Parts: sequence; structure tokens; C-alpha cells
Amino acid sequence: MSERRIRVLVAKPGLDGHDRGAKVIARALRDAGMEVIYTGIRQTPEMIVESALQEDVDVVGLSSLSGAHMTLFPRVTELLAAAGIGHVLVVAGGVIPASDVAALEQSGVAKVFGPGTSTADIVKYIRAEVRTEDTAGAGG
Amino acid sequence: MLAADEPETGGGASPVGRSLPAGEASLAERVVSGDRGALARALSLIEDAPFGPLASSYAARESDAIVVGVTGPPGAGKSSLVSALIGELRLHGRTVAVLAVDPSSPVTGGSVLGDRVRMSQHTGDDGVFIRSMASRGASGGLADAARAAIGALGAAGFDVVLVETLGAGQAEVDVAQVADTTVLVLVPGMGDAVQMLKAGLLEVADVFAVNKADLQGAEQLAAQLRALSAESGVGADAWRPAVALTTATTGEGVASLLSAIDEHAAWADAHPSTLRQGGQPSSRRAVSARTEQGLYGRLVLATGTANEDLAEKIAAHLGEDLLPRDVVQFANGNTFVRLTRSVRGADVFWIQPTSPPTNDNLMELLIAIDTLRRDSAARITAVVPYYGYGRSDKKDQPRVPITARLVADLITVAGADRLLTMDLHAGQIQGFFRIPVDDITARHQLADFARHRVVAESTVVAPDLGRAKVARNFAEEVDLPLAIIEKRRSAKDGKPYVLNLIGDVDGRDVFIIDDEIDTAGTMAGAAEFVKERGARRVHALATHPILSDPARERLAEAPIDEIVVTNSVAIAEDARPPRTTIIDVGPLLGGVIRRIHMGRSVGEIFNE
Repeated sequence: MSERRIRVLVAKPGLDGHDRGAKVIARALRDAGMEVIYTGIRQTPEMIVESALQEDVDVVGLSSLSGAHMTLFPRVTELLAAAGIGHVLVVAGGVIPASDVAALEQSGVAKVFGPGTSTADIVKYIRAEVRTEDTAGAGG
Repeated sequence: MLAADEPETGGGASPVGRSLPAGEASLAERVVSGDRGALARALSLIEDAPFGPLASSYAARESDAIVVGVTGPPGAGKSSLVSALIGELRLHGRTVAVLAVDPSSPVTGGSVLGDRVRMSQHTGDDGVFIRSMASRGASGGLADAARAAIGALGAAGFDVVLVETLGAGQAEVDVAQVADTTVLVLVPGMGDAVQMLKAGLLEVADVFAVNKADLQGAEQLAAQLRALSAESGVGADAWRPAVALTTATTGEGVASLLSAIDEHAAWADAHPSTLRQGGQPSSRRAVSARTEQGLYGRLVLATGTANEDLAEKIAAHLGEDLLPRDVVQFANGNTFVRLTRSVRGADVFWIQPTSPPTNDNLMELLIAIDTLRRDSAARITAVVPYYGYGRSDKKDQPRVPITARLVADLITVAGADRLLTMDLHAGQIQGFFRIPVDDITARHQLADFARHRVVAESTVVAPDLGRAKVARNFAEEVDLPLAIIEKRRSAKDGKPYVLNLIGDVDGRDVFIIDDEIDTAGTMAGAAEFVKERGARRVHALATHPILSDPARERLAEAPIDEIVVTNSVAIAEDARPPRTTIIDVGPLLGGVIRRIHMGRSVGEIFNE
């Protein structure tokens, strides 16, 4: 039947209104055959996690340009775990200083893609990660 | 109704459709209990297998929720209006689920689902559940999985399910088949009054919403729609579509839109015969028959006597009634078929597997086709889910017939224009016909089921060399290694005996797959053999449960932990072997029939 499609929630937490980058990513993931749920701007971490739960996504992509990522991103991973969907892969992008990356990865963000990352790399990364998850979950 | 099948009891009037893997049953229970994560998971499983057992059980479900379809051209403001409707419903304390369908790319299969953007104010409200769904190649404005998804949302206990279609053109009227009330969203400036008289989308509307009512021309459009509405319908108590002027962005008019929707729902309840029959969510039956007209006239489903239960399931999936007819056997053994309603000019699908008693069922099919032809059916499709005599397909010894070819000639000469069948014993039988043949497969349904049973150490087994190809495809689909039993029939007594095993089953769970289980000699023999070679659990999978004597005894005694078959062939309750699960292929066949009727691709369902 239909093969399983990778579902990705693309969300912009916080107050900055520039979603051009997020839309480019959404489009690239769509062109890679994924189903992308785009939530729009000005999302709270609570809204993002509730959307991720309802949409049963494999991946949450967060974008922030406003500098609030150290507050917002860890809150998302925390709430995901609390909602029982801690297995969801969280990736992030936007304007993130290199010095913050380690701390974010510590907090449960699987990967941070800085400016200039090619969309092909992001697609490749998501495919590899979700594929592994899938096979592990296929038993039972 | 979603409880797990208890294989040992074998009780109950209808064994079909109740069978779900144990894991799924608890998922279904969690959905009913209001577990949002479980609901989300169930929706994903439905999307991934829109004709699988879970989807089938939800698609057949009678829902207590009011299902409101919201359709209209792109840019009419459907999402904003849905969001405003959510707000209005919540004001009255009613819970709402939303299914928002957006298109998939026909090239990559990917999609961007953006309907949540306009509804994000409701995220976090416990009384609201929003799910985006990609159409995944379905045409008609909805995804194949939509009906089942609506069933699941209803099961979760929401008062109202709002279904937003993708930007619809005039022919995309699927939503009317799943919704109790269909709201057509229009905006001013989209065309003159002539557009209004056009068939299609306008005909399925129960309520018109003239959105962006603050724009010039809104009142004029509303007036035209009111005039159209006044002319529509026949009889004094016919529903005349209501017209509401709305401005979704400010919320103006949304309350009166909701009143119109509720009014229609109440009217529909009071007029059940014109709307839903048997609780099937097919709102505008009369209208749908007209707008659903395919290339060869209206769709007519009819069945012989071989498997009426399957025919009813197909009809239920399509929201159609079965053609009333008499099939009589006279004292002298002659079969007689009489239609009590004409099929002149119609696109008729006659459902009759040629399972045992094969000769009677085949003859009845031929007589039925002749009956249809003499009543001037526009097109006759013989739906033969199991093709009897299929194993007699070559001269494998001197002085024998090729009966599969003879049967093909008989069906064609009787007057069939087309054959729809499932898992032919040999694909080449298609070539015995000069008419088009759709040989669909239930492999995906079996694979969906098997996936829930697969443990790390599992192997698919072909019970003989002839099945190697089928088993290989199946193994690929469930991502398991393959082993093949090399078997030769003894020339003396016709009993199969096993010679060799290619591959490894030691310490592994095995899934033996065959096209049919007849006397079960092959299946029971294969099970014993793999067990000797060290297999752990043995699952026996086949499409067609022919189950001639002594199949029941053989299967009961064989070291088989579970038997999985489809309802392509009716099984008498006393012939049903223990530990058997039956997968309903009614929705699959229904989906294919609908596509044939509409002249759409059948392969699309199978990702071909």
C-alpha cells in the first residue's frame, strides 16, 4: 500500500516574524517526498508540542532568528518528553551561535543546522535518522 | 466493535471485520478513552494502510459525531472559516476534531500541509484536535484514508468532525460521500450566474457560505444562490440549501452558518431515507448517484449467491445499495436470475467468486451476465475475487484440458466487458481473456497484518517453487528474509511431499504465504516441515480460504499458530479452522470498483 512517509512539523517558536528560512526548508523536505506540517510563526513551545502530538510526526524542525533559542528549544524537548513523544527527532536551524550548539545538543536537540547548510544535507540527515528509528521500532 | 478477535471461540454471526491484531485492539481502546497520542498514532496507521484492517474497521464504523464537510475553490477562505467554526462550536461547549486535507505532490509524493497556520489559536484547547492529511494521490478532493480517519475521530468522542478538503474544482465532490452536511465556501467575483447552474460541486452543497462577505458582490452572489436553492429539490420536504454570509476573519455570520449546519443535520435526521441508509455516511445518495456518474452510466452493484457477505461489505464501503434480484434454483437444477430493477444504461459490477460449488457458482455468474446484457447494461464487469479453475492453466500432462482458458471464454461469450479478480493463481491467466482484466492483490493487506506479528527473527517461506515469486514480493514488502520449500508432487497418489529447504528457518518465526488454502495439504505439509527444521511460531497466510475437506482437520492438527486469510471466499462457520483471522477485502475491492467506474487508475492504489 502506501509506503510510510516521513512526517515533519516545521515550527517557529518565539516572536520573530521572519519565516522565509522555515518555508525554504518546508519546501525542500516536501520535494524530498516528506509530508511537512507547517504551523506558522509565533508558536509557543506548548503549541508546538501539542501539534506534534496530534500530527504524529517523526521530526520537529525548529527555527529561530531572534536569539531566544536557549530558552525555547530546550523547553520544546522537555515538553515532548513530558507528552510521551520524546522519541521525536528535534532538529533546529536559524541564527544559532556556534557556542550554543553543544548546550542545545545536550538538551535534546539532535542536530543544529547553521546558516549555509545545504537542504540536501538536512534531507539526508533526517532520512538516515528516521530510517534507523523505524527499523528499531518494527519489531513486536 | 474494535475488540480483538478471539480465535478459539469462532462464534458470532459475522467473523469478518472484527479481526484486529492484539496491539491494535488496545490502541482502539485507548482511542475511545480519549488518549490523544493513541488517536494520532491510529490516524497514521490508517494513512499508511488506507485499506488495512484498522482502516477497514473504522471506515465501517457508525459515528455519533456530526460530520461537516467544508469544500470550495482554493483561496475561498476554507481554513479561516473552519477556524471560526471551531471557535463558535467551542462557545457552545461542543468538542471538535478537524481533518484538513492538502494535496500531495504527484512527482515526489511530498506535501506541505499548511492548514494549521490559520487554526493555531485553537492548539492547546483540549476540546479541539486538528489533524493534517495529505491526499497521497487520491483525486476527488479527499485522501483514500479520509473515511476511516473520520471514523477514528468519531470513535474518540468528538461531537463534530470538520473535514476540510483541498481546494476543490467542480468535479471534486467526494466530501459529500463522507459528510452529513456539506458546506460549500464561495467568494464574490468568481463568475456569473451561469457558473451556478453547472453540475458538480454546486450540487452537493447542503449549505452555502458566501465568505469574504465584506467584499463587493457578496449580496448579489448570495441572492443568486438563494434563487438556485429555491429551484432545487423535488417534493415539498426536500432540503433547500441554506445560504449564509460570513466574514471568517472577523467572525461575522459564523453563528448563523453554524445554525444552518445544525438545521440541516436535524433535517437529515428527520429524513433518514433520503439520506443515510444503514447508517452509512453517504449523505446525498441521490445526488451522489448523479454526480458520481462514470464513463458508462450510473454505478450498479449486484451480487450472486456465492459471497453475499463480501458484496454487502463492498456496497457499504461505497455507500451503495445492492441491486435487488432473484436467484432461484428450479427443481430440475436449472438456475434462474431475475432483476427486479432495470440496469439499462448502467455500469454494472456483478460480484461472484467461482469458489466451490465451483460449477454452480460459475454457471450462475454466466447466467447473471446474460441477464444483465439482455437488460441493456452499458458495461458489465464480472467481479470474481476468486477465480475457480485457475490451477488448470497449462497442459502439464498429456490429454488434459486448460480449463482456466475455457472459463475465460465462457465469461467473455456470456457478455462480460471486463473482469476484476484477485490474486490469480497465475498472472498469465489475464492473457486468456481478450477483455481487460484487473488482477489485484491482497498482499498489502496480508503484509499490513503480518507487520504486527513480525519479531526480529522472522522469515517468509514459500511453500513451493511456484510460489517463490509471490513470497519474494511479500518478503520484500515486510522486509524479511525468504526461504523456499522445494516440493514435488508424487505422481502416484497426488500428495505433495517435501524434498528440500532453501534458506534458514531454524529458531525463527515463519510466515508461510500461498495464494489459496484448498485441502490445506501444501500448507499443513509446509508447516510440519519448517517445524522439523526448527521454526518457532508458524503463521499461515493466504488470500483465498477455499478450505475443501479435509482442510479444517488438517489445519487444526498442523503446527500452525495462526491462520490469516481474506473474505474473498465465504467460509461456512463450521468449516472455519481454529486460530483463524479473516481480513476484510471489501474496502479494497470497493475502492477498485469505484476507480474502474470513474475511469481512474487502479494501479494508483497499489503504488504502481
